[in-house]
Amino acid sequence: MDKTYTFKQGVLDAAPTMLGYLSIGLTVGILGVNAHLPIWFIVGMSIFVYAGSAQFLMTSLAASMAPVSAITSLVFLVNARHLLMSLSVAQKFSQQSLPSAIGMGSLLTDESYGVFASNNTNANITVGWQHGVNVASYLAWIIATFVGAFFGQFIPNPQQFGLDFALVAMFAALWYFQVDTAKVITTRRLIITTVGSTILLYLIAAPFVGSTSAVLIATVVAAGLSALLNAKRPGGFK
Amino acid sequence: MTSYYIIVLVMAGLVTWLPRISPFVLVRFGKLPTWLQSFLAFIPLSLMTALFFENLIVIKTGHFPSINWITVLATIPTLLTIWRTKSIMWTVLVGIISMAILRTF
Repeated sequence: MDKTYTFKQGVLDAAPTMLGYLSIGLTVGILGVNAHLPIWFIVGMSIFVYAGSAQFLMTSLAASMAPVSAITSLVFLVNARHLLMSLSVAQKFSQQSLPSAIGMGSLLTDESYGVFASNNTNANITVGWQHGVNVASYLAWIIATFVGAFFGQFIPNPQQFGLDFALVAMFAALWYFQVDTAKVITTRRLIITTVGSTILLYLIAAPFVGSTSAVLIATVVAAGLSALLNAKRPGGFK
Repeated sequence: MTSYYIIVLVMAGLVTWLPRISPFVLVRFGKLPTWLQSFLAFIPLSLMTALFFENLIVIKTGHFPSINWITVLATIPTLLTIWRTKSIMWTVLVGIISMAILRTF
């Protein structure tokens, strides 16, 4: 059945994303207050950064007062993937005005991109519909973070309940999703190479430069190496 | 303290916003070179690997890295959960409960 791609339909299509955002947003909020970050900063991250994995990262780094340069470069790396998603959405909606394009790009996430990608093949997809998906998801995220941060204040000694492990669990889940999506662009063997070389590089670098810089070095070198190997294999970059 | 948080917000906001909007502006001029697209495509995988693995290891400058056993143990049910459910919420929940149980021993 053909559906009409209105703004309202976009909001409806965002419902599963919003539900997911409520749970992750609550977690971001709870973790934030338990890391003793001010509520305005926690909600500010949701308004101005609006990227789950980056916010988890910022929470742990800002809590330990990590240097701004380290936070900035890590957040940039975590979010560099947006370039690719924005590129594919921008190509689809190349006819819109610049303000509309900037608005659309500003609110693009892994999940709203997922909703886009699953409707991408439909020729009737509209700019208004994509804005509906984006705005609904964005609002759900901000509200969830605030609620999490607000009620998180009343959970005493979260360490005892294992709440600090939420961050590691989140990274484990995001890592799993990355391995899963990498299957689309490359082979199983190259995925193992990327993962293996990242771990090896991290282990070599960390004792010398500390763990934050080692994450940066391992990420960039392993990704470069993988891209090189990927270009050499038959079929190349898919 | 407050200025530190504001600078972090501004910088993190900028480096997130620019990659998001630049393709929408650049698409009016042309395409990214293939090698850069390929490199960018591998960044999320290597980065999440590093960020995840970082938690499983204890690093002391000048020392050989050692394993953070309690975290590794709690990670096992956590990874099983994401593999079976594909849900971040369940994964975080199972992870937290596993860690809480491990800490009582």
